[in-house]
Amino acid sequence: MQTNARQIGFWLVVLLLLLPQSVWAHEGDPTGGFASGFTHPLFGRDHVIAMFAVGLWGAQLGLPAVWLLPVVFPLVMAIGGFLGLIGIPIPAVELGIAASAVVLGAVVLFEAKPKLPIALILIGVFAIFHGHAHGTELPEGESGVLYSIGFVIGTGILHAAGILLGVIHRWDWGRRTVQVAGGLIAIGGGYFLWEAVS
Amino acid sequence: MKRACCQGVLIAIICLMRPATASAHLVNTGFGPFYNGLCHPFVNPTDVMIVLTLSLLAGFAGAAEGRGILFSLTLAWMAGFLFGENLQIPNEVAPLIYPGVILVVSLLVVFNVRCPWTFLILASVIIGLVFGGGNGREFTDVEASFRVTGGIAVAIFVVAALAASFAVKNSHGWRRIVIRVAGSWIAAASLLMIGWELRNAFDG
Repeated sequence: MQTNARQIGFWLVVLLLLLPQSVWAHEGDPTGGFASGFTHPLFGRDHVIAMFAVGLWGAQLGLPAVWLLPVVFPLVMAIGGFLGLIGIPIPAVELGIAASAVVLGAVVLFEAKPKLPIALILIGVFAIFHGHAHGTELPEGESGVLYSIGFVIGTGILHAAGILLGVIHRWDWGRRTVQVAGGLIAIGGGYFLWEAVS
Repeated sequence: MKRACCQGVLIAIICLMRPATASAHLVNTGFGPFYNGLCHPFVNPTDVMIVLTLSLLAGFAGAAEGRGILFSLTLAWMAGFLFGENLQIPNEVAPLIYPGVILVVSLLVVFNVRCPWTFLILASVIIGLVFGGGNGREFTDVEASFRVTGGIAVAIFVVAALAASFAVKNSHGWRRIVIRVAGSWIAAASLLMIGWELRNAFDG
């Protein structure tokens, strides 16, 4: 038990160290390169809490959802991003993003365990909204290669952070903590939903 | 033994302290043809992505497949670089083709498709020729091209060897899943790159 807690603590520190720092030389590329792409998912609070919730929910659902959700979400998000980049509109994107935080927070709070295809469809639908918003927000520039790579890795790390925290749900106190986290995410999503409609 | 080590360290420190010309602005001077070639794939993310993804796919299929593409990919890349003028993709579609190929190969990794040896070798030859030809456009110094090719070949071979062996060693259980997750991220990034290029094409 002590070893597991130490391992979890170690990987949490590693994750924190992966957060970008300010020393980026020669970011002359208009897109801002890898660093800008990596930090882009971190700048939208509604995005962050929803992607974190995906990781938490995956940890609650266990295998194979714990790795399928972080596979499906970035892939489908990239489809949404693709649509946003080429200018295909999707209605009520901000509402969809806010709703994703509410719903995903709620499923974590209530430990909902639907069948795997339903869970994948649910997060896939929300991933489209997130991706589309990112796609329309992506800056102009000559090359999006490094930006795209940084963006996807940043998203994936948010999921991984959620999964890493969700690992504690194997203990009673951890289960309650994860549920509380889900509740807070749902509340945050409610706030963003209110902002989106008002 | 300890004394010999200390002496060695001292000599190394003295050598490092010897004043030498500070060769800044390597953008202008370059590393030299071979090392330019060696570094080139690493400053071109699409090259690294396709080599990594293809090698992971081959490694998943097995050690024999992994070994096979080491040579087929490297040799085809060299051939594409040196002689691939006629194989080059038109500039208008090249920015879409490269990420498109990466997308397809990475999806094969994600969906755990076990490709036969023949398919992998054929795919690596085609990919090597196409991507190598793309590299060939960027190096205009004909005299140095063989040395540049050598550098590129070393880089491609080493990256492919490391990735394929990694995939062979970690082709079971949760480790295989982690590689498939990485494949999905590569697929997502390449899809975004395609969208990006299409947007540039529409705007431009």
